[in-house]
Amino acid sequence: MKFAIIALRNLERHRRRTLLSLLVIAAGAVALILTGGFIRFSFDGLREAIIHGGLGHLELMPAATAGPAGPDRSAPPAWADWARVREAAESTPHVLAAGAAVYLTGMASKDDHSSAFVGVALEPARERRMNLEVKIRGGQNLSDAPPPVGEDEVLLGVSLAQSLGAAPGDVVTITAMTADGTLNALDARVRGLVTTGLQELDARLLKTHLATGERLLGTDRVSSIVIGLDDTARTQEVGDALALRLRSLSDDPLVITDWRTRAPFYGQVRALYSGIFWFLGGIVFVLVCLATSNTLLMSVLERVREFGTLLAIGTARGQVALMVVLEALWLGVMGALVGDGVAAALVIAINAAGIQMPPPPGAVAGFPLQLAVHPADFVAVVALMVVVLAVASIFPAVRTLRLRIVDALGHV
Amino acid sequence: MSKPSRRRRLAIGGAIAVTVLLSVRVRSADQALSNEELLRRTDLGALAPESFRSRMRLTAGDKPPLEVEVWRKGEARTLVRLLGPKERGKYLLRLGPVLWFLAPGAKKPVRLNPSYRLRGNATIDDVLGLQYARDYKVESATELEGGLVALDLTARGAGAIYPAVRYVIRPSTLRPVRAEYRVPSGKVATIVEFAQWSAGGRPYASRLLVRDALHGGATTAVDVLEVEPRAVPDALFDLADPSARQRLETAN
Amino acid sequence: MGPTANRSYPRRSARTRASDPGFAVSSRVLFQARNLRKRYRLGAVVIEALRGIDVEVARGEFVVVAGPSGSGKTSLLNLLGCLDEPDEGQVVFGGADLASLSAAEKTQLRRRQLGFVFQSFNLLPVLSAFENVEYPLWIDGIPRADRKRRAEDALAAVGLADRMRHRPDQLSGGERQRVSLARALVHEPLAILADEPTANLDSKTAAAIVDLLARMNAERGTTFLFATHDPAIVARAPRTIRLLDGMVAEGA
Repeated sequence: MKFAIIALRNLERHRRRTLLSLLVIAAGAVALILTGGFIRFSFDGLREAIIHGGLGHLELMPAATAGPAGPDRSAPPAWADWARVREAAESTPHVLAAGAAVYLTGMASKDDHSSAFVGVALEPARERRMNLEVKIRGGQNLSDAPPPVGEDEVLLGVSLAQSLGAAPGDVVTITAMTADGTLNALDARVRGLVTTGLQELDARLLKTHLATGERLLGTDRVSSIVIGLDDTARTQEVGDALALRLRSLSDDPLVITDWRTRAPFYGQVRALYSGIFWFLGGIVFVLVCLATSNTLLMSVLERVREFGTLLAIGTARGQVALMVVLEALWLGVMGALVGDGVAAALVIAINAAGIQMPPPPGAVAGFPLQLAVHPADFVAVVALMVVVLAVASIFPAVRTLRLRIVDALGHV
Repeated sequence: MSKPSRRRRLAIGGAIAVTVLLSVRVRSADQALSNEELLRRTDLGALAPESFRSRMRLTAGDKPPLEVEVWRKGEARTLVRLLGPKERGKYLLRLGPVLWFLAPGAKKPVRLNPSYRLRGNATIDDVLGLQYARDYKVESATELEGGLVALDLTARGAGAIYPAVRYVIRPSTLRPVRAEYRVPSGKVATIVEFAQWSAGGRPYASRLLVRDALHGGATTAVDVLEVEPRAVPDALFDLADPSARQRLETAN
Repeated sequence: MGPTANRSYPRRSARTRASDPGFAVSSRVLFQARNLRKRYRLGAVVIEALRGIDVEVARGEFVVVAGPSGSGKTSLLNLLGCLDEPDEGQVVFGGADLASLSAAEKTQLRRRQLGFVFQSFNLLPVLSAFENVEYPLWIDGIPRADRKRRAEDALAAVGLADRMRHRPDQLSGGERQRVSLARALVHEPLAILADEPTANLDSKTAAAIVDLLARMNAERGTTFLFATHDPAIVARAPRTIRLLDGMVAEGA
């Protein structure tokens, strides 16, 4: 494709101008790669925080509890033959652990203070195996071993503890409706205080051992099973594998929900940030396009007589326009590759520098800035710049199509 | 939520509708009773014994039936003992306006909302009934089909649980058929139907149907299995000392 | 050197290609212009560059179009060379009325049947002499080996075989014009149109170029149409068409 070579040589004619265009394109490429890397890092962080903050990767529950509008967390635990299913889940590849969970609602009281709670009874040992984080703000986490009768323990949300006037070591009474529809009350020692990062949730949060929950509600049924995986990317795969196995395993039809469905918040944040990124991309697009379009146009206007000559000696108009477009595409590819190189160097440098970011809402400590950049990003940026420059070349190329040969030849 | 204590006291003072012993004779000939007199004669609450023990079964929805033993002394003190293997040691203790829940797993009693529903939508007041003649006055009387008379009652004082009640009675038998309890907005909140009467010397309503008129009409059936007028020891109502109650458990 | 002199130069053999738009190449007349008029707008003023010109050029002729600047030489050459369209009148080239050709056909005509030499050489600065010369063959799709041979021959014919790889900015004015001529010849056109090809050259080089043109004309029988206002060159021409104020003064 000799026109491509002519186009490249034309770029060499005005080194400084070409270099400037390359820099503009490279700058745009760097901006996109770095911003994209930061946003992806934020998504990764948020995703893992959601999952390891307690949601786990997947949740299994009987279809009856799942319901069309989402699970009914105030319904009494209804799942009887969950143990078999849990065993099957834990023998599935990539599953770290499958923890039974009983959803509790009721009242917690200490002396004259009482407050409603929405909580869960679970298995602390499995929670740990799944790398689910428990943010302790006082006292300790629940012990792994099921507490004997009369020695029940609870974790209280920080604000809940405050409203009850309870501290680690105090005894509170928890009251809840049993599976039979009567009340039950148990004394439990406050083993620790926890936080979710959201004050509204902390004001109602109560966590206890599965055995305590069973004792309180007078049943060994559970509400659901929460599953933690060794790799978030396998969520879909494991979900599908489980769905197949479970079809034959349980009497009640089961529903598997993944963390995404249970945290629509994540999708919303993602959509918001993606929107911001696309907006930035649009701005880069327009800026690079305007800057290079101007340069391309200048270069076309300077060569009007040349184009006239080419047309005079029998070059088709489309071929002349093609030369202009090819120049633009060369700029796009080369500029983007330069940008890729600069961006790669910056990413390595930033990630190694360990710049501290301020703590996000709910956290105490900050975290080191890391950019999560994939190889595909570099390729995508090249493709994008090719498109940008193709668009930038439209107007200059059209200008050549409209040249009158005689006027062009007479152009100085 | 929390109701004025005076109203509580007055309301609780009513005897169990189902344990009322009617000392009423049917006066077939004399229909010229005044409305107030009609009310007085059919007031189940007023005609219940001062202290008694009773056993009841409450059934609602898909939950298993709840059997309870009720010990009552005067208007202000009621002990509801939950029966059944899983419910051993659980009590609801009403002292005046305050309702406590006692459970073997908790050292201290837990304070409950006085409108706590025993089973389904039936509160203790719905089950134990109101003191109609004492706490309400008759605004009007309407004749209904089938020989019934509807007495529209309004509360005498601010202490009544329900500001207005429609008390439907059958004058020929001097028995109440149903009571419709209204909330301040005028809507009917609960309808208690006196479905069956016990046989024998002092008949009492042996089956009540308590219907939630505000939320879809779910019904709780209350079957009164026995009523035993007797002296009730004060110790049963001692919040701090559970020993008398513990003896109840070992005795049965 | 009148218009009738030097008619016995060798003719080019008739050559047709299937794709050529119906050229009657056996016709003796190559260019035929009738009543050509061309106007230009210069701001608010309209200038008549050509005011009714009739011209005939036979195959193999070496014609010089002379006249002072503003006489319409360039305009005439542009119209004959299919670079522009007349406002009135007709141009027939090789028997084909140019007005009847589509834009694509005109482009093809210029590519294959015509060659152009410009006053400012108009070479592509990014291509070497060789690449500039092979350019018309390349855009016509001639295969590589063929192109190479013909371009080398053309450069040799103009005496620049040893400067093939040089870029225009490494060549003198005279050398550039030779390259330009080689480019105009390489595809063996029926006619070459040159607008003031010696204007930017010194007299010695100019004379050398004119010699070259004359030799090409003699050797290959290519028709030459040559616009100039240089009297020294006009004096050497076998035939001269003089223009004055847009009309033929003599020699049509």
